[in-house]
Amino acid sequence: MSVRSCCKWASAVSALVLCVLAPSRALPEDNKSTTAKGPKVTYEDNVKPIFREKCFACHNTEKKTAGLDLTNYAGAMAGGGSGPVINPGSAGDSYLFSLVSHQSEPHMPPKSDKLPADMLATISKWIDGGALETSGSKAAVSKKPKVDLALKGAPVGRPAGSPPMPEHLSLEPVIRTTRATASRTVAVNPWSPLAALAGQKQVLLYNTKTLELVGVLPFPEGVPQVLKFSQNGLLLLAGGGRGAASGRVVVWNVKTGERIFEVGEELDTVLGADISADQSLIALGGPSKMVRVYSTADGSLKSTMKKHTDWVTAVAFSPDGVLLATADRNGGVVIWEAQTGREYAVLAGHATAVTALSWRIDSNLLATGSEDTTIKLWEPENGTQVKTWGAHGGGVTSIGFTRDGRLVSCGRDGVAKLWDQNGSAKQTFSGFADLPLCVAYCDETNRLVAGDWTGAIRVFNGPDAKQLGLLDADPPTLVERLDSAQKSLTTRESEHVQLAERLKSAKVESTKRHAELEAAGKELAAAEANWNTASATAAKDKATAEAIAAEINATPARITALEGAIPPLKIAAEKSAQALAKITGDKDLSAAAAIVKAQVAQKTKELDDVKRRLPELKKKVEKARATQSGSEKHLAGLKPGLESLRKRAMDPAIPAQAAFDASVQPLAQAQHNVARWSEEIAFRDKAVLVAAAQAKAAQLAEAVQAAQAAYDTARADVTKLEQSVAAAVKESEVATAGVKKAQDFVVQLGAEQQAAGRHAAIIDALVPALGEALAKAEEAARRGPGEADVAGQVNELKQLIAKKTTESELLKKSAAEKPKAIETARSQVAVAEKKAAESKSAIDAAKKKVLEAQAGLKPFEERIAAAKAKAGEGTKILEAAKKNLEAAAPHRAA
Amino acid sequence: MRQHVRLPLMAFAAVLTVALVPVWVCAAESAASPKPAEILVYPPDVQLTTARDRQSLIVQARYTDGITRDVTTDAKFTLVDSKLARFDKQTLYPVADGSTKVDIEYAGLKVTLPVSVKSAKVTPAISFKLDVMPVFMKSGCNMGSCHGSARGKDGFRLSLFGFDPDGDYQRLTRELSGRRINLAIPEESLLIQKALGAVPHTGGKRFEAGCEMYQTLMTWLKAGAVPDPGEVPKVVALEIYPKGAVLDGKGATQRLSVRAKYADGTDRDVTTLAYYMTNNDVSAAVAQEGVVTAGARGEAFIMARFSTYTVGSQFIVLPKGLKFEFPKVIENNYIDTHVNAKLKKLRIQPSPVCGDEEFLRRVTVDVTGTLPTVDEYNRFMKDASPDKRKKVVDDLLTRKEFVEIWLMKWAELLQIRTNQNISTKSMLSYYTWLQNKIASNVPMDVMVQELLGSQGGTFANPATNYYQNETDTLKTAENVAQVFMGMRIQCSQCHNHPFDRWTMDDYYGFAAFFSQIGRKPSEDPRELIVFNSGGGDVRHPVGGRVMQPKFLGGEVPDVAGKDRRDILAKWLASPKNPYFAKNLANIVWAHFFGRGIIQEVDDVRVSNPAVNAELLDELGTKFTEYHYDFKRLVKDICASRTYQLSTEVNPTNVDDHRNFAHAELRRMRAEVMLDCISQATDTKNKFPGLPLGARAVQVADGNTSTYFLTTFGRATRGTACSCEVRVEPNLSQALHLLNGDSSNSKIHEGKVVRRRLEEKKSPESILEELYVRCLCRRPTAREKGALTALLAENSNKRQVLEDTFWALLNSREFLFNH
Repeated sequence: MSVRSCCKWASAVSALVLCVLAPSRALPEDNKSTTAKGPKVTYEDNVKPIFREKCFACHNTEKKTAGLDLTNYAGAMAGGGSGPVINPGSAGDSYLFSLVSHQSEPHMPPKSDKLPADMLATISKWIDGGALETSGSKAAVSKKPKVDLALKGAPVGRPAGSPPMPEHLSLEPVIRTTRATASRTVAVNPWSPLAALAGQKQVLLYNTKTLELVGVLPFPEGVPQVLKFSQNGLLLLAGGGRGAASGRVVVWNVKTGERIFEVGEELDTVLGADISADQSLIALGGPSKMVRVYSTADGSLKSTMKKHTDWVTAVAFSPDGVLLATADRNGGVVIWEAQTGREYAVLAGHATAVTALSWRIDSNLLATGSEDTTIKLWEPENGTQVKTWGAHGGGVTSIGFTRDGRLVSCGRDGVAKLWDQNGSAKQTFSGFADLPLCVAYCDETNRLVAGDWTGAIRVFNGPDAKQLGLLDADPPTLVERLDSAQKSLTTRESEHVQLAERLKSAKVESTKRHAELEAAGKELAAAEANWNTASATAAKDKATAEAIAAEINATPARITALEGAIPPLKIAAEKSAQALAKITGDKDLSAAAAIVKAQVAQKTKELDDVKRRLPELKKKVEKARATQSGSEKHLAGLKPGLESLRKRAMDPAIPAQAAFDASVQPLAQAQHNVARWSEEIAFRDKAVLVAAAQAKAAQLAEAVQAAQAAYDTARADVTKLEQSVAAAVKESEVATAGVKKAQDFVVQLGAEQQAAGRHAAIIDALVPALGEALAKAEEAARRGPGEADVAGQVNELKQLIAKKTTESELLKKSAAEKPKAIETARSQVAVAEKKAAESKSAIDAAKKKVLEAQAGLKPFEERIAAAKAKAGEGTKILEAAKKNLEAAAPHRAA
Repeated sequence: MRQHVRLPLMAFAAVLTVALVPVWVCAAESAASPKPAEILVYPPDVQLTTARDRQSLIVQARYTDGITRDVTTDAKFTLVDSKLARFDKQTLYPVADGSTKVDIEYAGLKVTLPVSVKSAKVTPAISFKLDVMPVFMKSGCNMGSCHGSARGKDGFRLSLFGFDPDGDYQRLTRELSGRRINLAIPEESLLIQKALGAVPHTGGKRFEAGCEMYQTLMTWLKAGAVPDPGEVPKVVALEIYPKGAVLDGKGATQRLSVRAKYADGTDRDVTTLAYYMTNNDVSAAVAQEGVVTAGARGEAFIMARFSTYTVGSQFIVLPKGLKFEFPKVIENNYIDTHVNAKLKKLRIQPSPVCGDEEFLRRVTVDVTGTLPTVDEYNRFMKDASPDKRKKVVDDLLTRKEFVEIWLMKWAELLQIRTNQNISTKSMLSYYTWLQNKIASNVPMDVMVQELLGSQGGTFANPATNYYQNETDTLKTAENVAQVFMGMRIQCSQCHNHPFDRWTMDDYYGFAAFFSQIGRKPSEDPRELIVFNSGGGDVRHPVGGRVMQPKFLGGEVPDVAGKDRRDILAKWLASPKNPYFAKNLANIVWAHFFGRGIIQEVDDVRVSNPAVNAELLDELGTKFTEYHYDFKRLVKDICASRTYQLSTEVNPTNVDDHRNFAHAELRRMRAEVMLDCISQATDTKNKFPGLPLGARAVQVADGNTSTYFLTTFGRATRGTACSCEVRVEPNLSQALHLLNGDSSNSKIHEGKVVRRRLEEKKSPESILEELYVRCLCRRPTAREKGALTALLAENSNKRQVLEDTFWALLNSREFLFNH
């Protein structure tokens, strides 16, 4: 993905800027400089938002009530079943206006109050102004995203690089409400311990490990109804909007928080949406019952799927990007080919609303959860159901596959569950305050995140289902956090001070007691010696008693043994005596008898001895026991004294020291918290400053542009004037030439006059000569009649004379006419001269104007310079603010 | 009283004013108005409980001419102890606990009401059932055409008219959780946004931001939209004030005050929460704020609906300053008194009494379903005694035809007909049983008790056929309610009745009486044995709890170990049941006037009130006093002047068809018409299972019919509905009479004219007889002249006379009872 690389500050700033600028986006015209005529009211900028709010619900492309579609300019102009509804140039003659202004029936919108006056005024102005589509000076809003989102192929497995976590996003919530409300969606990043929750007009990012807020993404469009991380975890998608009013899908860069894509023109909130794994497609659906797929390349609508018979509740691309599953409120589930939008399979089985869809990561299994209480698993290849089980009594509200193919779900029975793929519950998560609505499993931390109807988001430990904590869907503002941190610090500090006091006094006490302690120490030693002696005696006594007791214990056995041995011995002695009596003199026998007899005597004596000693022993042991108990009593008597001595001997400073030491850490923590939230606030404020600086810089840059434009206009005027000077010069030259030509003509005419006079004189002088010649010739002719050649000559002469006479007359006439022509030519000269003079003065005037205009350019130049200087300053301020912000970026614990 | 309203700041300002000056007068009384005869203040007492409560008061002045005027704003209110409550816009708000009085004075007349204040410092939480549900009703959200529809509207469903508040709570809060309500930002809840019309809403805008309903919803949402802890007190009664009004001229207004009483003894001013309806908005339109505005002259019933209750108040609108005098008329009995009282209110003069000929024909057709014979006609016309009308009624009531008419009507009510389950034998014995009861004048209560409590085989005890005809428990209950109490409770099977007081609890409680009917086959496969099985329950469809048998609008009797039907029968056909006697009296009345006092007779409901409740009450009382002997009731009716009025109208009663100010033209019912045609033409009919010459009213089986009877709308007895009998004219009826074999061929078949001619009677006398036979009158001079001329110029006298006969049978004068 080639996401625009951004500095740390950009994320927070963009988030803030978006937040700050969000309201103005609706009416981009607001910020535009206005021309003298006032702003152009256009369909795209002014009227469409009104229509969207008031009319689109019925007059849209699908519904087309009364044949009218107002969602696009062409449709609005085409009109409806009754013909055109807009008569450009005249609102009064436009059917649409007469209905919305309640001048004629049926009043529009039906069963509602008349539109507010300002809306009516806008519509009226728009129609009166010719019902423009867009302002001519402005190109249609480009839907092109800021960055190219599409990846080369769908990613599989963990993406390279560090886990996608927000770097530095503002922690300031967009809105703080008195309580949270039902949370319909929660998403967990597949590759990092990051959870996204839907707040009011915002998306909240939490670290699932630390349960700390790590970012706030403003969503001024309304309430997010669906949140999804992209397959690689780098993007976060939110779909939502305002119920029955508008729906939109937004995509952010998780790391920078930059809003990089927006799509959707829904007339009700978006309920289900997803971005394909290769990030080339975004699909969405909602109460319109339509599924729309947009291309991220240019924001164009790629396909519209009209198949669902009820609201579309869930939309999910398969992780391999091949298929798209959609579900509706009537139990319908449909699988489409993602790229073409063609229907691939219809999964029939659910009886009522399907609430959730989830693909296993290998795209080979689709899970659906429904209000009909079941979770069903489908094999997408053939669209067959492979497993179904009753999961939650009352209905399933949310499901999701874990990375290892287990399933999590929650439902109306008030619990969340973790299942294996056979549908046997492995773990149950309970303790929700109300109906659990959304669930997601964080594979990175093995934790389960689930939200309920009250808006409480719980985090559970996956393996043992223990609740670990809560994520706040309505987090406190930074100021609140700082306040509470400060309060806590104050408490800690006072505690700390108290403990220090106590330690001090304990130490004094300790010193004071030192002597006492020494004595006590001695006493203790003596007592201990005493104790030791006593215990030695006691031990000895005990040993004696025990030895005697052992003897006593052994005695009965001995008696028994002896008593058992004596009778046979006696019998043996008797027998041997009898035998001896029979066989007297047998030495051996008598010896043996003697032995036996002696033995008997010995044993008997021994028995007597033992019997005699037993009472003695008993007495002895009693005595020994008495001694022992005496020593023990003595010991017991010593013990309390010893203990108290020990206690006394112990330094009172030690526990105080321990308590004091224990308070240091929380105090440090509290101090750290205060510092942290102060830092965050500073960061936020700096971000606000950056945003302001950015806005200011933009404004200044605009001013520069405006100044430049003004200068350019003025410069163009100057050029025009310069051109007019040149023209004047040229004209003057022409005029001067005209003067000369006229003067030349006068001279020429004078010359011609003279020449004509001269010529006439010559002719006049010639004519008499010719007359004479004629007279001669006539005479000759008379004289020689018949002489043909003479006669010819006469004629020739006659003709010649006539010709010359005529010629002379003509010349004379011409000469006579010339003065008049000369006069005319002279007056022409005068005119030309005047003209030339005039053009000369015109040149002067134009030149003067040029000079003036050139002089007039100066303020513009100055303005440009000033604006540029200011803009430079602005940029500097911005840079400084950015640096400042960068420096202020809080170091948050990972 | 409980009232859940946020006090506006202005109200607080008013407290201060009131505290300083305990008495204040809204506006000076207009000097022009004459002194009223009395002033009426509603409601009769004020109970303020909790800080959110309030009570609006209305003061109505009644003038000697009956006109009423709303003088609430002109009256002077004085609180005896002004420390306990305060006034704002004629509404009392609590201040401190205690009891006091409020004096209301107008034009020198004074009324004092007791005021009690309890828990004045306690502000209870908004309750979903008590406070939020009424908003849905008032703003129309849960109407059948909106979210109350069975499948909801635009994806959201509420129970119709709020019959299932728990379900509504679930759907609103827990279905599509997070969509409809937003606890974080309550004002952005879709519920609020839609109601305000801030986002597109098919139903448009329902109320303004900041209004009482808005405040209720918002307070509830802000408190977390919690459900009611445990049970909440139910509404047990609803009161609408004033009880009635006579408005003087178009544009006159009258505000309403509606108060609900709860099971815990508290009450609440629901004037702003009640949904108002009118049955005649041309005469009196009602705004949802609770103000009635007079329109054209007429009568209207203004209804207020709150919770499951609907109550009404009668409004009469007269032209402004109308001069009217009621003629001096003799009132024959209580019927005339009540009817005339109503007519006086409406400023309508009754028509004069009809002539003897008209009376004779009318009463004979009504009582016996036959035409007076020529002899009867002559005898009656010659009789000069002043009570001859009474005598003829007495005489008619002794005739068997009278029994037959009522037998037929009862057979319709009890749906006597053969079908897959009921054999001809069963049907006939059932019919015979009924015939015996009616012929021997068994009191109706005895007969109905015997019917409803019947046990045994359908042959042995034919009354048990009632339970063979309809074996479905719920439908049986519906039929019993419709036939014997005149109520259509079917709506309440699925939701609380929208226009009546019956709830689903009432419906299933009533149905529980029929849940222990045992049925088993007998030796004869055609016979069924009906017995008390002693086991079986009816369960409520919402929640599935077992319903204890409960009388409709009555108590819960002890049924342990007893036959439930017996207990029901004993209650139903007895004076303890307020509907039984009135319903039967109304059925009888409708027979004689063609229109019930409540019309339709089996559609008794709050929103379809009696046009003359006093009359109906007295008829019911009399009927009870007569030991349910309806012969005596018929006598009363026939003797009344009202019954004997002419059909001729005068300018004041020409437009009235509801208050019996003149006789109405009534087309004879199918059976009677066929019998009358046959009687006039001296012909006989043959019906299956009956001898030749039997009359159509004697046909026992509802399943038997002829083309004639079907065409003229004979009841098939398929249902218990009074709409089974149809008397609306249509084209096939007209064509049948003109061209079919009922008139022409019967004229030939009966040979009446031919025989008279053979008897050598003069054509003129035959003509006269034909007139008397058909129309119960002699021809007028003009008719006679024209017909005599025809006879004179035509040699075929028979042809002329038979054509005349045909014309008479086809005349409207013949077809209608008038």
